[in-house]
Amino acid sequence: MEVSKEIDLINTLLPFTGILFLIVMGVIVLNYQFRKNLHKQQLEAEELKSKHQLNILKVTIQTQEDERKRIASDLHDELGALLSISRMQLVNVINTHQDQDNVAVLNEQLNRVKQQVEDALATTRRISHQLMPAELVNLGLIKATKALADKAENTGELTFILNLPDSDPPLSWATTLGVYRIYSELINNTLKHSGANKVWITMQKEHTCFECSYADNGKGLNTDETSAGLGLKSLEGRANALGAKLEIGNHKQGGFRADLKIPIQSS
Amino acid sequence: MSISEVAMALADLSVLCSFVYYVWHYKKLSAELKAFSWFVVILFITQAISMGFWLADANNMPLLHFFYVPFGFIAITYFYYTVLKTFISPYILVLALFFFLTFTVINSIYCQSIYTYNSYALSAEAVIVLILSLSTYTLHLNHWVKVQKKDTLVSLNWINSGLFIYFTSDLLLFYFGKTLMHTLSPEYSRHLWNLHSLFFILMNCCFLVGLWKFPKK
Repeated sequence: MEVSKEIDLINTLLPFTGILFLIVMGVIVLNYQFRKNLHKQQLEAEELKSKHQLNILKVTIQTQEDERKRIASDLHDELGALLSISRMQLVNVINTHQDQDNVAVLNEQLNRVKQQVEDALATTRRISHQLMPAELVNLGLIKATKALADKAENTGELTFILNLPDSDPPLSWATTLGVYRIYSELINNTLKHSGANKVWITMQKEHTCFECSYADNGKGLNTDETSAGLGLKSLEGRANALGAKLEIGNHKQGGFRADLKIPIQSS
Repeated sequence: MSISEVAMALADLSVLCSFVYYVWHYKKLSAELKAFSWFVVILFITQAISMGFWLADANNMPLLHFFYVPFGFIAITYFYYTVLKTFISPYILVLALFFFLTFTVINSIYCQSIYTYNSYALSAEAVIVLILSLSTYTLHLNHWVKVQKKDTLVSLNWINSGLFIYFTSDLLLFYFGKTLMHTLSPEYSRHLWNLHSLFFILMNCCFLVGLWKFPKK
């Protein structure tokens, strides 16, 4: 009787072990499914987040550029015009009173004011130009880049070797402005930090993208620094906002280099 | 009043409380809890009708075969579908539902008489529910899921625990039931059923706590 009970127990326990195994296998299979779908969902969420951040960046840069344009226009059209009129009136006053001896002192003072107004006009033009580069608006990216290089060469510290296409690339205004600002920032960095005397700027249209490269023969980036500085982060932010890929580093021979690849379709 | 009668009365009362509480708050519940309410409704209907059968001194096993087991399983699967739908393919649950319903029909027609306990179907149901329940526990440990389900997580864990506790006891009781009936005296067998009632009450308590913990805004 005891033996029969034991056999019954074995006959019952063995299938039960099978049932437990089935439960464990079921849990493992479902967990595998969960992990797969969770990973997919997390990736999608990350992608969505980065897209959102990119959109915010684009909007921020666009707003900044619009505001600069407005300020440049206000400076040029309103303040510039006012200053021009004031200067003309001063010239008139000087011309009217120049032959009378008792107004010699007045003439001298008016000349001083005229000079100050002329200085203010020049400052207005300079600020206006910095906010919205007139060369870029009027002449396009290639000629504006040449003008930028000419200005930097005039400091006497840099020589530029340019390899630019004849006509402007088919880029949107926002991308054109972004590329110009990136070059402007890179030249500024070279002048300020690199100690270089030569700069190479190359632009060329490839099959699906527009490639812009920049290099100098200065001391290059400090590789000991673990994170990029604010200037470089701003360059990366601009490039991301354009949907472009920016690679920054040092040449093997020394010197700084930056390569920007802008997809044609996203421009 | 014997222990068995007290256990039965408490089991009926726990079902009634769950049913009233869920129906009362139905409109304020999340999709998962609304889906789960259907299981509570099925539980209540089963308990009410079986009590009627018991009072009429009739066999209530056909109710188990044709109503509680198939429809209860559909309701539980639907509940787990709403909980897990973004994490597993719905075809897995549809497949489980299809095979189980086919099995329970075949079991009731060919294997176990409709006037006896359909222990095979109940054991199979318990196995599937335990797989879903344990998987849901592991899923709810993930930080990402915790953030996504922050409003319902506590409630779902209570409900899941209720189902886990009850169906574990169910599986053990129905699987080993036959062996134990032969081995143990009728007195001990009655205690086993009292134990089953205790787990049933415990399950309903978990459902009530689950609903109580749900933010009813």
